[in-house]
Amino acid sequence: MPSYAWLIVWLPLLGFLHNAFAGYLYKDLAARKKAVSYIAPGVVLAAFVVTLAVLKNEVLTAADHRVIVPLIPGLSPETPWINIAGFKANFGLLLDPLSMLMAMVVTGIGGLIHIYATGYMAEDREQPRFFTYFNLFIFMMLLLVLGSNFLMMFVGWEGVGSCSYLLISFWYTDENNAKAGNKAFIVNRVGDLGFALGMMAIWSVFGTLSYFGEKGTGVMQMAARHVDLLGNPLNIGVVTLICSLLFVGAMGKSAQIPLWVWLPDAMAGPTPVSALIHAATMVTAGVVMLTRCSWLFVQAPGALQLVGWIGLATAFVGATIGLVQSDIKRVLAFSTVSQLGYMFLACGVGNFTAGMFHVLTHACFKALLFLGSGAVIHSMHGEQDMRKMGGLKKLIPRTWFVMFIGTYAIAGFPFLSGFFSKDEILGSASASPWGNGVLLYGVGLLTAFMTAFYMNRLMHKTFYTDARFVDGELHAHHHSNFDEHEDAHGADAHAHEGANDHGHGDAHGGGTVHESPPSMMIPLYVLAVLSVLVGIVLGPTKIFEHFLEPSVARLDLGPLAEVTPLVPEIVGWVISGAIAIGGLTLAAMLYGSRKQTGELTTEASKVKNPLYAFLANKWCFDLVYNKVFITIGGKFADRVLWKYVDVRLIDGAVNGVANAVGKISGTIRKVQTGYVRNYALGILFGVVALLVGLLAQWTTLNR
Amino acid sequence: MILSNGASLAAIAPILAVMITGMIVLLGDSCLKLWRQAKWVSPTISVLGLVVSAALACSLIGTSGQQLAFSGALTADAFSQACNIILAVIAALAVMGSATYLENRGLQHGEYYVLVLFSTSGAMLMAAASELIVLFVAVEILSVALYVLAGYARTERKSEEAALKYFLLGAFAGGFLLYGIALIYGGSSSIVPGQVGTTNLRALGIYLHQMPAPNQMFIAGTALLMVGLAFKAALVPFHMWTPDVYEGAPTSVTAFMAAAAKVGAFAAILRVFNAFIPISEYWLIIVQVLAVATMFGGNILAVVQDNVKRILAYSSIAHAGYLMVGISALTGSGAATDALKAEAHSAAMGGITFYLLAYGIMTMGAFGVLIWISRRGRDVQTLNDLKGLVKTDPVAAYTMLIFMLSLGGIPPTMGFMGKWFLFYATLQAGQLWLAVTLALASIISIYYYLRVVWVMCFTEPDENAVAPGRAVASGGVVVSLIASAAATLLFGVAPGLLHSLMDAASTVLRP
Repeated sequence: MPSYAWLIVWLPLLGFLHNAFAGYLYKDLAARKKAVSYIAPGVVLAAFVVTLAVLKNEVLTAADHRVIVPLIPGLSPETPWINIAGFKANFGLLLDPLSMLMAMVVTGIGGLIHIYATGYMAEDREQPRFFTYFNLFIFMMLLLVLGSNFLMMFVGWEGVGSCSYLLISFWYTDENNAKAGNKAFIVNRVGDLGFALGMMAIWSVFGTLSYFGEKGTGVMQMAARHVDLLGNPLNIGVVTLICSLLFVGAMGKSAQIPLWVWLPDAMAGPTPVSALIHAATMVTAGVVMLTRCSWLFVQAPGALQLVGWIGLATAFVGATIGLVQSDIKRVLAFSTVSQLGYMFLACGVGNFTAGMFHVLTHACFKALLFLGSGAVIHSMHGEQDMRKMGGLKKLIPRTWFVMFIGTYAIAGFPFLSGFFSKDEILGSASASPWGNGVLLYGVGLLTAFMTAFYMNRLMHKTFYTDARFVDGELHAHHHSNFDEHEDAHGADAHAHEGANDHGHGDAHGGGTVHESPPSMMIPLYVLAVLSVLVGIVLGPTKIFEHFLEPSVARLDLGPLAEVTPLVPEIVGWVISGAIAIGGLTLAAMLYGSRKQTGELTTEASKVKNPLYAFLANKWCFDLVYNKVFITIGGKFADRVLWKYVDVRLIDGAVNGVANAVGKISGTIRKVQTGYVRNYALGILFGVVALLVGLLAQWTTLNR
Repeated sequence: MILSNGASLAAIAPILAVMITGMIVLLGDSCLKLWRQAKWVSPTISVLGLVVSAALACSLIGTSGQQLAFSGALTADAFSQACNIILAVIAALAVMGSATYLENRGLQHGEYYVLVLFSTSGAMLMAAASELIVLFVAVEILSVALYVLAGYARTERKSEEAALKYFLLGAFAGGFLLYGIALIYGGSSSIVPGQVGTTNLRALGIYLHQMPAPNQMFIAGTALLMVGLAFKAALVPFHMWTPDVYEGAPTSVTAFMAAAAKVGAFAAILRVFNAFIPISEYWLIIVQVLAVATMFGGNILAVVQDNVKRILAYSSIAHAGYLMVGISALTGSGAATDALKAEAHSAAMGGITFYLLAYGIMTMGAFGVLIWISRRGRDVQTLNDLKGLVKTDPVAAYTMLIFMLSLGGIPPTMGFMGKWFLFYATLQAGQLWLAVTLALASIISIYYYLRVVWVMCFTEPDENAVAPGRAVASGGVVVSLIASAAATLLFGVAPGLLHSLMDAASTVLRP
């Protein structure tokens, strides 16, 4: 039976092509935007449906729940994509529980965010460009998770990076946005280098880049047997090197210390971008990659321990910074950093399944929170500063409700989805194979407490405290690459506003707070339901664990042994629940008693407090990086690399050679006279030269 | 395996298909009035015939082994079928690109297609010939048709001049080719005592393998044979006709000439030198000198040209140089063991096959863009005509960009992969210095390819350039351009899709 899995990947690509060429297809802007707003979410949701069908018909019926199918229909999965000098990579899609899980998240949650974005971006004149990048992102992300070898993952990896860059600086006329895009791209290059080196190391050890192959020829299968390409036992040092290099790649993409600095700045993009790329999908690619390579990682205890420590540190640092942010999206950004840290912590102690479970639940509630905050920002006409909000619960009760669900889910309130996934991670952290379970568990709990606190702080500042703005006199902060004047007179853009169900006609005047349109609210309701149910349905019932089992290596495959957790599961639940409720309550008490200002202290006393300053400066990461890489590195680049190496050495040599070539060329072109007799003479000269040359060679050889 | 006469005919069916189509078009056009009046009939029938030929070649490429047809005069192996496919593709692109162009220049006559088809069959025969006499006949079939095509615009002095130059010099070089064959016949009689001479490449290969000690006459014959083929392939110093002829001939003819003649010539060079590998210590250095001279000569001379057709002419010379590097790699002279030598040989075979296809497609594409943007009554000739093209005709400009990048060997294009394969084969053959030279020569080429891009994209349109007006070409040329551009990108990203073609070509002709 032919596989239909290729459709999952090709559908978003078709959407991308349609949106990219929408300018040619529809001359009228309103018609173009309308077509795009149906096609873009349509292809993603169609891909979701295909994913479900493929999961049911192809994956769950296969042996080991694993099949490799062609990317291009009709070809065999073994058809080479590149076949050079024994280096071979195939065009295959690997369908197994892990890739299917991610495909469902990417197309399912991605589809919801697409629907949301049709409302959010409706007024932007460049809406088709936005959805072009958005569909391309989905395509690249699917390539990343579904590819059957490291090279295809790398293609997707770089592709999503590019889309991320394009979307962060979507409103490029604001220089800060452009800078944020650059920062994300440049920091990610560091990680990508690690990934590329890791891939080369894998090639040199295993002689293939495929995860799984016929008769156990894949990297993972060899790793499971502890052998390399030639059948020799694996060298632990080499595997540790490979895993560490891959982890450097994961650090960049998933914003782990020390490469995390780009993620908070990435919030400069439109909010659906933050939800889709910088919370739900792309940033979890690192966790997916680690899980995909779990067979390698369990063989390399050193690398695993590194992953655990980095994850713990990131979770903790991210949470502390989240405590002092005043921009609603930045709170969520640091919370994402912190939650990603949790996922890596789970991987680091060998419980990859728990990490992936948190990827799933986090995708639901973080998408919910980001989209909810987007709805808040939308209602506030582009205001993002929580100091200028307050009292929104009465004005936009529906938005409040979904945000409330999201907050309790991420805080780990008992029986919501975050509770189960986080508890799973904390439980396995306490069962760390390194014997440092108490420390990991303690810091993990502290982080969970902070998470609950800053999330409820966000809710109070935004919804419960007294309003710190005057309704009806809000200034529009709408982002656009075109100035207001131009926008208002862009005839078709304006006409579109009336046609839309959006009811946002007052966008350009002083506005009142209003609920968001249905296209934005419906995805929020769906995500709210998911945030409540996903945990309890899949977690305690062990459905998720059994589902993912074929894709994940067991820890005892390597030299490490499993340890029993510090506390039994039920006690763990009680502790986690108590911590979450404690954090939520503390925030409620502190902010509930300062309803008017919504601030614990005055701005003046904040400035004096060194701890506050330290946290507000993000632990001085940016300061140090600026000093070392931008100032000192910049001077080196300027004085040595540019003025000396580039201008004198390289340019000198290049220009010199170029001048010489030009002169030679001008000289010898004179031979080209245009007379046949001269040309014939040239041939005769060649004949003599060849005859003399060959006969001289004959004489030399036969002397 | 020696085939019976009937089986021989079946084995060269792709070539016959082209020849028969040519005859049908010739007869139909001259005898049927309706046929002549409907301008689309000849090109359509020609393309159909070429498609049939390519399909036949595709179906025959799997039947492996050295099938000796007609008592060994032709070899119908996978390599010749691969060349048939490449040549059929080139000719089909040429026919599609020509139709409206010719009509608007008042040159639309049925014999144009007949000539294209006959010269294609000549090039196909060159790729299959394993008898030097057959090779000579094939060269003449190819050339005579091309001489006429070069002068096809009878009323234009430049076109006539091109045809005459090409004919005179071609005849001159043809003499050397024939004399070389005669000397080889004489020289080979003494290689194996008691044998009479032979001009059969396969027999020569076996003799040379058994006793690699040729006499002076044989060596002199090899030199003259090399001259004849080098003229066809436009290697320095036998290249001087190229720019003048390419410039003077109608652009659609130039495109076909540049692509098809070179593919045929290299297929023949490959067959000859493959048979002569046992005596490679005699000729290898000469081939390498020719390669280096051709690469640098073509590229350096292209730098100062202002005429796009001349730039492309010199560029085609440079590409012949790259292909000669592949011929040098066939010998695996620097490889340590026999196994490595065999590996270098198959890498070079695969690389040359891939490169021939890539070269054919991107050359047809680049000239095709020139055809596309030519206006009634005036051909696009100079860089001046391309100024600001990105503003006046963005699609043409971007298509040209793809071909320029590909010719320059910049990823993700076929040209890059082709150069990569040649480079790799050269390294496998242990000829590091030649690989480095190849890279250095390509750097020079980037200058003039990017110069074309620069003129198109970063200058303002010139008012004195070809005036905007109704395009002379449409339909067919657009299809052929889109197909070429898509193939250039597709096989640049996924060369593995041509894996079977390359593999088939490289498994035969093992030394």
